[in-house]
Amino acid sequence: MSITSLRFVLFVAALVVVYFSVPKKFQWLTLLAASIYFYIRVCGIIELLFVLLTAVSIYGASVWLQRIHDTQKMVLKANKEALTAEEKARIKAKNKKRRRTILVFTLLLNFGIMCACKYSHFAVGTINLLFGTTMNNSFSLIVPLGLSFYTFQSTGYLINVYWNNCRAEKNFLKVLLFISFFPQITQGPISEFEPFAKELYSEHCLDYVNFAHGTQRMIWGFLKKMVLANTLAPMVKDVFANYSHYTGITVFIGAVLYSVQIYADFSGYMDIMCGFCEILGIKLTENFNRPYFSKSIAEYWRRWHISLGEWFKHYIYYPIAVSKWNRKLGKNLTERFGKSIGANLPATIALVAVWLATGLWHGASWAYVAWGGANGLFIIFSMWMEPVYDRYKRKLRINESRWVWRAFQTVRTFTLVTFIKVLPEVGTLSDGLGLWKRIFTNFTIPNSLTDLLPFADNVFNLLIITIITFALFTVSLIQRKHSFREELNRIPYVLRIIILSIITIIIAMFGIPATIDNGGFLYALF
Amino acid sequence: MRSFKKAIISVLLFVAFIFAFSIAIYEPYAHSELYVFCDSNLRKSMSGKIDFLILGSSPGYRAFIPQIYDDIIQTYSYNASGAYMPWTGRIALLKEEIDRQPLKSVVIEISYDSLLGNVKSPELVEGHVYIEPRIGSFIDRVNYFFSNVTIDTFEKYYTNILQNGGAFYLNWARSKLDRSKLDYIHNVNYRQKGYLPYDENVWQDLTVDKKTFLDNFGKKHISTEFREDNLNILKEMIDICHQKNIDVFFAVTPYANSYISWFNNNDEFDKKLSDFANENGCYFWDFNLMKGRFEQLSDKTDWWDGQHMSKHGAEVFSKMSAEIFRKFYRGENVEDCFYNNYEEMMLDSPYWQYMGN
Repeated sequence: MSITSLRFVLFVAALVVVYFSVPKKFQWLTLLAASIYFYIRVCGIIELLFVLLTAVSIYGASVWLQRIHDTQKMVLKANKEALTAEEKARIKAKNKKRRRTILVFTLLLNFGIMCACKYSHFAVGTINLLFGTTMNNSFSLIVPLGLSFYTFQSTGYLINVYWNNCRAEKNFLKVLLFISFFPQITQGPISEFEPFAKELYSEHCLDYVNFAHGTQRMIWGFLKKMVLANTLAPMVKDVFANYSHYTGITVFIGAVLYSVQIYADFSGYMDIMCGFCEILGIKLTENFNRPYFSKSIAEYWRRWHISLGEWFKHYIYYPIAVSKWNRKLGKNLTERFGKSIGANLPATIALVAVWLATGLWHGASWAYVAWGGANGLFIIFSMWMEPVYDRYKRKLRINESRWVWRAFQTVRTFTLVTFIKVLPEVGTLSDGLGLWKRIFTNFTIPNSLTDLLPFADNVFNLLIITIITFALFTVSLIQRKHSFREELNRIPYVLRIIILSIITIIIAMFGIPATIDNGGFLYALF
Repeated sequence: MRSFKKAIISVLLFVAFIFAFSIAIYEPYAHSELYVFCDSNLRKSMSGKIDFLILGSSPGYRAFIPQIYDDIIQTYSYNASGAYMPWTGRIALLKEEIDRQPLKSVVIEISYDSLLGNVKSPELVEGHVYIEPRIGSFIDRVNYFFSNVTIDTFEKYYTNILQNGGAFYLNWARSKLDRSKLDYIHNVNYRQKGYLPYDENVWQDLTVDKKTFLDNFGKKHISTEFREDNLNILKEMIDICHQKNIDVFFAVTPYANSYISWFNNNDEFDKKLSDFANENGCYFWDFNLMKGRFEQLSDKTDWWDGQHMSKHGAEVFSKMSAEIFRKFYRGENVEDCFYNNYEEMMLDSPYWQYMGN
């Protein structure tokens, strides 16, 4: 069942009816049944077994961790006066060791499955490349849909239980729902347990405002994905496949279109799923906050795929940045080389780890490692150079609050992001670099619009892309200061429904044909 | 409860508007007799006249010219074929005509893949879109829709009707700018009694050199795994005709020489159809095996693509095939008009001998 199919729309419509018809205490069970049905329809039973394995291991480990913690607490409380400080420390150390063993084992199991499924080919290819061996690289492995997403979400929950940031959930079915909830299993968002579980398990009544807003957002998401992203897909594919035959300016336009495509694709999916959850009264974690309006790469990554960035921040960046050895290193460096190096170098180590992991998370290839590295490099370079920038800005009397400066920063960031984004998408790393080279070395001026946009064989498609991109841009601009919903609510009720009907017809006329060959989601591949 | 009511009202309004807009887009295309396929009123106006009916998919649609048949065999013929015609469409059209026309002969054109398609699959959706507005009664259209369009195919069906409706407006707008385009969307084509040629002077030169011919020779296979449900409809069509003493002919229209040469089991395909025809009391004529075709039909000008004839090709073919029908109706032996099989044809034809050497 494709998310962009009529069957999916009917499925969610039926689910909404059932969800609000069953007794409220069974609402979350309805979601669980729907999630399992959805996953089986999309992937099959075998892949569901992988999800179940993750759920069972995470549930077992979390309950065990919780039990050790609770027992320790009880023992210490009961024997508060009978135990000496040494004995208390010994009990704590013993339990800490047990808890750590359980955590490490469970993480190894889950990340092991993820790595085996996702990175075996890459590992074998790399070994062959490095050592000149000829190990078979053509074996096929099952890669369950959403593997990276649900692995990260579930392990995040386990680590939080280990850190005693949240209590382990005793009901296995509730843990299974948290891991397999269908609006987020295939492409995220990667949610934190505590706030999201509260949303999932609590009882909801149908609220018209939620219903209307959720439906509007779903339609907007379908428009973005089916019409904009899917119409752009063959054009971008054409540019990436033939970049060596096209002029530099054409290739650059293709790269910009890819940026629009991937945003429409991923944020379109998020809008569909967030809209659906909103109808149910469930607030799904937001993944986007107008990312192309960012003024730096670091800011861009705080506004693009927010939940993934948060995950890396919580579970990789902070643990490395605040680890004993890193703090010690920072302290030593501060004493020897000064405050700047002492503060920046430990952060740099953590950032390198985060960006290499981010690169590998997105794809098992050197192109993705280079992509992660390029992002990290820009962020690290900006961090080190910040005092220099500040000095120049003061010297040149640049007023950072002026719109011209902000517009410059936004365009600069968008251009950089676009260049980095295309690197792994063309094919191999050398293809990506070849595309960059084409842009910077071919300055042929196309003679006509056909020469400029040779990948666009349909004027209507170009027109529709332009209109929707402009609409997307306008909505983002409005959202800077106001809620777009408030603006929409000012339109009379009937007119609003007419507009939504027309958008739906546009989706049917342009989106469905474009979806036949380009129906998949780009982020579902990660 | 208030929220429930308001949500339901909103959904109903939303669906009503979508329905209204869809109808507005689709209506001129579908039911106003202005588009190329919509011929139900025309066929109705010919009630009591049509005695020779051709039912087929696009190869038949582009090959049989009724006026030529009328001139040569003195029939009142009509070509009710259409692009992407599913079997459900053919039987619907036959049922519509069977009682109001004095039919004597029904020609069922069968192309290589026509018995293979699943009428419930998205590939044939376009055929349902074309056939719907050709069915005269509203109730029959609704019945046709519900028995053929499933949830999975509805998306494509709906998109198609919107696009065809949109195409109508586009053509209409173009015709306002260019009068020469006006004929295409108005019913001038029906004066040709269902036959629709490709544009007058459009054809593809399908001639190939010897090397290309030999490189591709016999590389393709025609599937003879005919679907049971398609055969059942065909049988039902035959029964309907036989109950009214109507002769049923299965016909394969001529394909380009270079196109035929790709396939390695044309004879197997013919045998299977011929056996089926014999078992059911029908005639089977593969016009690819028609003697004289090499002298009169040329790969250079007579096809639009491998399976579809150009206007010139259709004129030549219609004259040739009408002569065969005339002989048949006179009670003469028509077996002499055809080669027995492809092997015999190849041995006899200078074209094949030249290419094969």
